[in-house]
Amino acid sequence: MKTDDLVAALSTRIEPVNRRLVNWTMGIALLAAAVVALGLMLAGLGSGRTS
Amino acid sequence: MTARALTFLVLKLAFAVGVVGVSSIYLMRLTRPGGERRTSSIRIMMPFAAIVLLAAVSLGLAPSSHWDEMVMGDQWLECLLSIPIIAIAPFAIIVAAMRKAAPTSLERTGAFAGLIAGGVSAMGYALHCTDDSLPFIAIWYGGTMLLCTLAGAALGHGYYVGRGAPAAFTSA
Repeated sequence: MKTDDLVAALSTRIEPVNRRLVNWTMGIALLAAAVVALGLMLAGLGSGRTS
Repeated sequence: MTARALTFLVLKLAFAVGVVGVSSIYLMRLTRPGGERRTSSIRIMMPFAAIVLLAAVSLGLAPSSHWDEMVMGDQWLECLLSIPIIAIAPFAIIVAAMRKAAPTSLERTGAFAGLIAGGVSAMGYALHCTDDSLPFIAIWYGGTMLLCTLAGAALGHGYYVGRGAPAAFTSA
C-alpha cells in the first residue's frame, strides 16, 4: 500500500470517540475492580479485624 | 477494634486510596491517544514518598531491637502473596475496559492498570491485615503495589500485542 492510499484509508469513516462513554466505562470498571477485590479478599481471607 | 488498630486501618486505606485515586486520574488520560504526553509519573510517587517518610520517622523513634518486628510483622508472606493474587481479577477488569479506549503507550497503561489493581487489592487486604506498623505498610503494601505495577507493564503490553490493536484503531 502506498502512503497516499494509507492516509486516505485512515482518514475515511472517522467517527469521534464518545468521551463520556469511555469515562463511564472506566469508572464502572474501577468500581467493579474495587468491589471484586474486596469480595475476593473477604471470601478468601475474611476480616482479621473482627475475628 | 482498638483506637490504635482503627488508626492503622485508616492509614492503610488512605495510602491505598491515595495511590488508586492518583493513578486513576492518569489512567483516564491514557485512554486517549497521546495521553502519555500529559502524564507525569512524579505525582504518583507522592503517596509512596509520604508512607516511606512516615515509616522512616517511625523507625527512627523506635529502638533498633524492635525494627525487625516492625518491618516483618507476622503476615509479611501473606501480604506478599495475597495482594498480587487478588489483584489479578481487578487487573483483568481494568484492561478489558481499556480495550474500549485508545491508549498509545501500552506499557504505561498496563503499569497504571497494575498499580490500580494492586491498590484496590491492598484496600481489601487492609481489612484483614492486623500488622500495625508504618514500616510494614511502606514495605509490604508499597512493595506489592509496585510489583503489580511492573507485572502490569509487562502484561499490558503483551495483552495488546497478543490480541491486536484496540478497537478504536481497527474500526477506522
